[in-house]
Amino acid sequence: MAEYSCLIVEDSPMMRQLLVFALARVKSLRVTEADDGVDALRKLAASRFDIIITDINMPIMDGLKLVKRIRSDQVHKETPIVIITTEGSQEDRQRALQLGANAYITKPIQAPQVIAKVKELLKIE
Amino acid sequence: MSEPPAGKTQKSEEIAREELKKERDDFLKAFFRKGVELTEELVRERDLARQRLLFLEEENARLRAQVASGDAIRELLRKIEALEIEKERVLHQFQEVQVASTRQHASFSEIENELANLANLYVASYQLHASLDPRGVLQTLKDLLAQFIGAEAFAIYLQLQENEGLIVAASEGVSESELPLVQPGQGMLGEVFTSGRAHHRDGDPRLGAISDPVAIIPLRLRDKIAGLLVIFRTLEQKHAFIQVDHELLKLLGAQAISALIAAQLFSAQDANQPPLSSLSDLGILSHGRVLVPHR
Repeated sequence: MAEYSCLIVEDSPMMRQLLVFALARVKSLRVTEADDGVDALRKLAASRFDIIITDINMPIMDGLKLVKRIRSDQVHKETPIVIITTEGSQEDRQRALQLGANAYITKPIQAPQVIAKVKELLKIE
Repeated sequence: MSEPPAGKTQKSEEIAREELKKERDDFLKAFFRKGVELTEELVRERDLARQRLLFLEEENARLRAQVASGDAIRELLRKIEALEIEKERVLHQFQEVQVASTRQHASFSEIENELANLANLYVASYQLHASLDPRGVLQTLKDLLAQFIGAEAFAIYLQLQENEGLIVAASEGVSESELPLVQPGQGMLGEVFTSGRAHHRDGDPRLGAISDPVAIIPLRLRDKIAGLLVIFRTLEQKHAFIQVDHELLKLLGAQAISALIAAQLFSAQDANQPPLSSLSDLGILSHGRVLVPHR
């Protein structure tokens, strides 16, 4: 079975833990966590990831800047990116999609939706 | 009577002989002609009989083929009938399998949802008790309400002193100056505080207001109520509370105060002392012996 790697970028430990719990249901997925955009860039430079899930609102470097940086990175420019937004932040969502994000999930996060989105983007049965 | 002259007699005999010969030839010719005719007749008869035989053989073959094809058709019809029965049986089995599959799929989805719900509750409980700072616990409570429940406007009330009113310890989405004061037994909030019975408003939780909260949850410490968790309104995408929201609110109602107290005790402890040092003063350790020598 092919193994995929996922990077979760989320400043809230609670949301990170919830995402890790949700994605533990996807058998072939190895999950790495990052606290913010800068931490994410460090981890992206060190390893190759098959999918990236990032929150929009984060300190130090927010999700929008991170999406822009990832899309200009030779290694990860094609890597699917899922952004986490709130229903109200439609502008941020549109901006993230314009910058190259592939999909979005709205809060409050439901584990089955996260799993479905990741499987869809990684084309996992 | 006089005898005919000899020459004349001889001539007559020749004539008679000629006539006889002619008669014999005619007879023979007629005989052979008849024979030829008879032979020809026989040959014709034989040819006709042969043709008839051929015709009958063909007819026979045709009839045999007809009978055989009739049998084949009957056999085919029998097979079709058997196949129809088999098809019905297979369709019935397929429907049964489909029903079982649908049931299993529903059961699988239900289990998946249950697991997701349990994960939510686990994470909530874990995070609630992870902080050793009262501010951190309050922040976790706010995060849980906003990010797990989908609350947009809410407040956490605490009773700091017995028989006194409740104070607002934290809030989100509302100005604290708008929040009502809570006295035990007074108003909707005060009644929940006194009775200890949670209040859940029917209808769309997005349409709640400060005067009409969508949920009021008593925060318990053993058999006492030490505070309230009040949700005034949910986020736009939160159309209704689901089962896990109610479970989560129950969990917060049961664990929030003990998490706050634990964090408060920890932060009040002498930072120079090991965190568990006071356990020896409580007399709960067996014999008070040190089992692992300190190096």
